[in-house]
Amino acid sequence: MSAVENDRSFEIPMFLASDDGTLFGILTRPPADDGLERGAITVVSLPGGGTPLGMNVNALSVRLSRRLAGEGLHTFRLDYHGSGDSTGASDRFHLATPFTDDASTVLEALRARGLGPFVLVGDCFGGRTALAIAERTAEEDILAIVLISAPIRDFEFGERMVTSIAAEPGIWPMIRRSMRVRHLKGLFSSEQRRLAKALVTEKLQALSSPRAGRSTSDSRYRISANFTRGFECLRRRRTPTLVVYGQDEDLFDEFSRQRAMLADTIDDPDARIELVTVPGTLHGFTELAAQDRVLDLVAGWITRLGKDDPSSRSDLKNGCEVG
Amino acid sequence: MARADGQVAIAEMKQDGITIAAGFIAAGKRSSALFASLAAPRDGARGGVVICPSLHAEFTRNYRTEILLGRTLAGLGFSSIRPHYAGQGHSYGDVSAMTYGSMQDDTRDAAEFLRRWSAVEEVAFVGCRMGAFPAGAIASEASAPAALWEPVLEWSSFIREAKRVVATRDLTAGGGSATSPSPVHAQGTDGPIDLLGYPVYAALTESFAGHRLIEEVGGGSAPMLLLQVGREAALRGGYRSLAGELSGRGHPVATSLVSGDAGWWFRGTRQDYDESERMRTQSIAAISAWLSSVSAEVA
Repeated sequence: MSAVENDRSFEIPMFLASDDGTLFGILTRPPADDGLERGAITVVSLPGGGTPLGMNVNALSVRLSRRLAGEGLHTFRLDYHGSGDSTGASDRFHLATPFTDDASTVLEALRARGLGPFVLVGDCFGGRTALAIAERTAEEDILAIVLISAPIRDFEFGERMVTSIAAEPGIWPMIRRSMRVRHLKGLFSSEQRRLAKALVTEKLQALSSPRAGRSTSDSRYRISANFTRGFECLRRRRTPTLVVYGQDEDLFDEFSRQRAMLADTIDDPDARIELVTVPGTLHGFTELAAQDRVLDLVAGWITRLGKDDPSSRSDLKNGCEVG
Repeated sequence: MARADGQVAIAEMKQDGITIAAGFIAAGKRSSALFASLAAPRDGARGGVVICPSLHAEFTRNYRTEILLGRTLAGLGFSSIRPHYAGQGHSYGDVSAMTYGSMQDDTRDAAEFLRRWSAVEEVAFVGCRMGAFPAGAIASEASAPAALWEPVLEWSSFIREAKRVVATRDLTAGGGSATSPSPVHAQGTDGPIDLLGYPVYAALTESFAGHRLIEEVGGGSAPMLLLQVGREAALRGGYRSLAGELSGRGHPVATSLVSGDAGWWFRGTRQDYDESERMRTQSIAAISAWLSSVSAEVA
């Protein structure tokens, strides 16, 4: 076992006071740390809404934390308010309102310990939280950002598929899909009938929404203004950013469909935004192999930060696959 | 503030008259620390409760509910501990080495730590889903009260349910991933089964082989609660048999039903949010009321 695992004193559980109650999180210090944390790069893991816990699915954030600690980095993983061991009321997870207050609380607490700058690692809702908090945080405090399966639209947890299908152009794709045998069979279930009704309602709403402009409907069915603004902020600041999707996931399909709207940002030769796809589905971390790939990718990318010539172009620039 | 004395690293806080704590504990002969969530009344506990979580996605899915159960119990005068089994969650340890035996060891160690931390002698057990096995077994050893919360009756049914969930998810999502393998499959002869991103190793499966919950629980004659969570209007056949068997052995058995679809493996749609909150509240109320009544009878 690594030194971190052998020495229990390297993980420090913490309760942090916030406006919504008290947040729980765990600070992991590297084995070589002699107690002086001032100026230490700290990686902050922000989980998704499906598993809003600091440990994440199959302890993925725990593994990332301990692995990075082995590379000499501090890490912090938190339970959002109303989740896990934190206090506060349970909250709905809507991408238009990420938990920036929680993230702010964490960054302030870590700064008070002398830690920072920060690398923010967020998956799905956590990625949108990272994007949003980076905009609100001083440029020098955010060293880099990792966005894993970050949705580009704004919707509430549980609405992803319904709004995605509703956003498809026209109605024939939806009709064709509904005529598949497995879906027709599914209508024997009251649950499936409820979903079908929700889908029809959503589709009608999407069809009646404006096609252009920065409307709420645009953010819900096409691309969120919050997302594009956050992305633009990263471009402007030249913040090293790793954007990761699974090749088979709908969130990557949506990102690809709207890529033209992000071209000015992603394709800016001075921007330090890297897009990487991995085989399979990353969203929700429902595949062990994909978990291992993203763990290796993210840990490797973070540990290389600052070691490469910042003026050089990464081999991973824009769309390279990692198998 | 955390205490880090080489034995424990626990963060504590006070809220609404109770102590809430979480962190790493060392108990028994283990070489790696367990993570646990704790709660206790401010003025001394009248008893303790070990809350044994389920495994894999169910472990995370029901996390918050179990934490809130512990804090509710603290408000009623009980201290509580909810451990993460070795290799799971924040706990250290090798997940590939997890077995039914190691889960029982973790439960015993958690009970021992709770007794020391909150100065209680009597400890009851609550086991949710697969957690009913270690909870029931250790409660049986100690002739202690046990609440079995939508318990899994045998390992094979747990796996069967998981596969059904995966199949349903694929139906809803439109077939799943084109290039990814089925989420429930064996990754080679030495690799784990991939259960929606959670590994199930052979050691765990083999350790549960031949064990049925009805044979693991029910030592002594302590009170027991059987809490069913589901859409059925009456107790399921398997649970009726379990309750009948336990009654026959001399246990006072209480049963309770919480109506709804718990969705143990993943959250549902937005419309399910309110129902989830209702089911959480009712489950916590049922267990809390039962423990309070059992404690009152003992006193």
